[in-house]
Amino acid sequence: MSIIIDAFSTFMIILYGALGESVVLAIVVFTVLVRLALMPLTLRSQRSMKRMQELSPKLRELQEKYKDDRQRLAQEQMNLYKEQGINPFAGCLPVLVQLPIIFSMWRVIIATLASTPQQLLDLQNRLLVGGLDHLVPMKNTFLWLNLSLPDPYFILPILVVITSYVQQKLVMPVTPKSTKPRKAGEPPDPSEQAQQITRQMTTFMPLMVGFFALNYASGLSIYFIVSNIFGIVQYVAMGKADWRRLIGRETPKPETAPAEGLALAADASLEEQVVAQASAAVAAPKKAQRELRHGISVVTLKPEPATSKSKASASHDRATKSQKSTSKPKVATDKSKKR
Amino acid sequence: MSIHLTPIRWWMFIFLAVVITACGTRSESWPGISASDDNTAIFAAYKRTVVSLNPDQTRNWAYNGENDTSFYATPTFIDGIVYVGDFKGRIHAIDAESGERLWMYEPERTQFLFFELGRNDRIIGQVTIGEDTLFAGDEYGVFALDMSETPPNTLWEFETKHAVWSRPLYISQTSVENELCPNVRTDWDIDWNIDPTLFVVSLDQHIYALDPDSGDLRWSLDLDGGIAGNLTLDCLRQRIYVGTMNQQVLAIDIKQQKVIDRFETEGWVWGGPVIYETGDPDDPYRIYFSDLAGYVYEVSLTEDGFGERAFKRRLSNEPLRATPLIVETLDGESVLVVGSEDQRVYAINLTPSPSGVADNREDLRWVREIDGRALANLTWVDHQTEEGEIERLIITGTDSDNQMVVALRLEDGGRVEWAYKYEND
Repeated sequence: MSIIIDAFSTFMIILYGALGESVVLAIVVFTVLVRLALMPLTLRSQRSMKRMQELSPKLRELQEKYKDDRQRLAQEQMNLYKEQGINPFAGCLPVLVQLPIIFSMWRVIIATLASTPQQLLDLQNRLLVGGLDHLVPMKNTFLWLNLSLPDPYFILPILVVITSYVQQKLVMPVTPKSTKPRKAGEPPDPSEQAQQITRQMTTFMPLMVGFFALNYASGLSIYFIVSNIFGIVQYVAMGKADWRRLIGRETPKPETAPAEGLALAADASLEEQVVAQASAAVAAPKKAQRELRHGISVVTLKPEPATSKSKASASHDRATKSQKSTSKPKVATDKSKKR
Repeated sequence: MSIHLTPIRWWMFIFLAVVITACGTRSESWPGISASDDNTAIFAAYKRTVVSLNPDQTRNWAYNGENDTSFYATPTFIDGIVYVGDFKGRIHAIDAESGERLWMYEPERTQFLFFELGRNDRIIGQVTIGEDTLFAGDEYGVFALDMSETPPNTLWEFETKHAVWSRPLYISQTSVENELCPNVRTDWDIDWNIDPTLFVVSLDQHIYALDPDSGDLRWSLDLDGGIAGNLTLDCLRQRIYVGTMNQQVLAIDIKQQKVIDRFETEGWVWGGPVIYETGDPDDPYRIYFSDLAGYVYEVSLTEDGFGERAFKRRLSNEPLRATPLIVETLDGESVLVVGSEDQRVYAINLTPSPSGVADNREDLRWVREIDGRALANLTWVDHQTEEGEIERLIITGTDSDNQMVVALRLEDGGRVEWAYKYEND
């Protein structure tokens, strides 16, 4: 990760010099550029999760059908994923690739502001390009702020919490608590767990970033705010913003399984996607997770259907293959009939 | 092995990952080391503790600061009192004999719920004392305390555009004669004839000349590079030398109020330059400095600024951060000692050969490996051995708790005489 931090630190200092030695502008432009550069990965992750969303009615059917046989449910879910050519963890990979970059950005802002002697000493080793020494250390004052220190008046932390909350509310679905009582000894419904995490994320994530904003350099708060605003703008630009979610309401939609929540979460900020993927991992039965992990290379190589006509034919082909490959042909036949 | 990640575990994982990523693992600074005027006591400030050590390693006292802070600054010893600033902006005045706190200055803060509102004045540089006034640089600039009262009150504050990590330089006729230039030959008849002035350099790339009584700005110069190191006064020519992060050492004429010369280096210059009196009437002063690229330089000084470069030697591939120390052996040989981030301390002979030509000065006298990174300032003390012999010790500090303070024998190949471990009592 050190090489990423070095490269980003150098880029940040170059931006700072090019933008009239304004640290705030440099952080804003740097954040936006990195988020734009990560867009292809973000979109890929979203696409993967949307496909999961499309599967959710079928998953719910399976959950209903095999609610008393979890092992069988896991097997059937795995078969369904295989048939559809979906790897439920494929969405994780782009997010995982982005993680070092997200953490590096965090480190870069702290490193380039260099508020302690050690950080400044480290910074001189990080500059990969010569001729930048006259720009170091960056001027760290902006309005009432010393950007290398926390905001003494809490204005930025409050903005961080607000923008983070707005983004969360816009992108996360309203997920009502399950009204179905759970019997004693009965394992928690995976979908309910996923919803629980989604609900927790809406409240906990803004508070967590707010906590960091309170305790770390205010330059970092600017990064959080810009990143959140970028996420909101991106979401609005994609035409998915439902502002009624801010007050806890949502446009009526067809009933969907919890996977929809995951798909919506895919439009969230990078950090939030990680959590959303976590809820997917928690929601999937353990055995299915294990088997699916082993099956990644198989399922991801399958071509995607291009048109509705070819989709139907591809579905037929997959169903046929599934019949051949499964150890229990009767189940597969039943499923084909249902379809 | 599989680990089942429940929601709460995921949250903990993400929280810890972020905290660990943000915090890093290395200490954020290194010890601040100084010695008493007579070089018989060592003062070291690191993390939460200030200690006073004897040349034989025995500890006189240990002073612990408040729970919420740490010491990054080098202690200043004046008239039996040790002054040191901490990372929360407090100034501690400690009795050098007993280690008792005499007073503590704390910036005003307001408590709001669990939080403190107000300035977070990190003091990283050494404080300066001048005629009942204490001057200290902090995150916002420089401030003065009126020490005629106990505890002292703020006299004035001067804001800079970035932090001040270096030690302010207070110049008055009294300070020049008694402290700054006591060894200047009287036949040079130096008449400073300037009003008392406080010189401050900042990471904002400027030098400021301030009225020490009011904090009013007299003049300032843009130096084209951030400055974290101390200023060095040239008593003979009434100049200030300072190293910058823009890979330069500058000569600033106090009377003309301008930069009169620049010397290019290979890396950032963090430590202050040090002037050495050669004893040669034609070339009385030479200046030494080191940089973060690992080079040490020796340059002659002329009326116009920097003269000929005598040598430039790369001692290490790692930074030489601290101001080099020039010290005489008991036999009268001059040695330049410098510490490096590569965990080594280097000693170079400066003494000219009998012919008067300094042809051996590039010779390394010794190189000594120590436990931690030798980024702290260096000083020296004389230690009397059990046999009654005097030995001269080079004192420095490292960021290793095992060798917070380390003493090397100047005349015995830099052998480690003792090392003091960091203890938080």
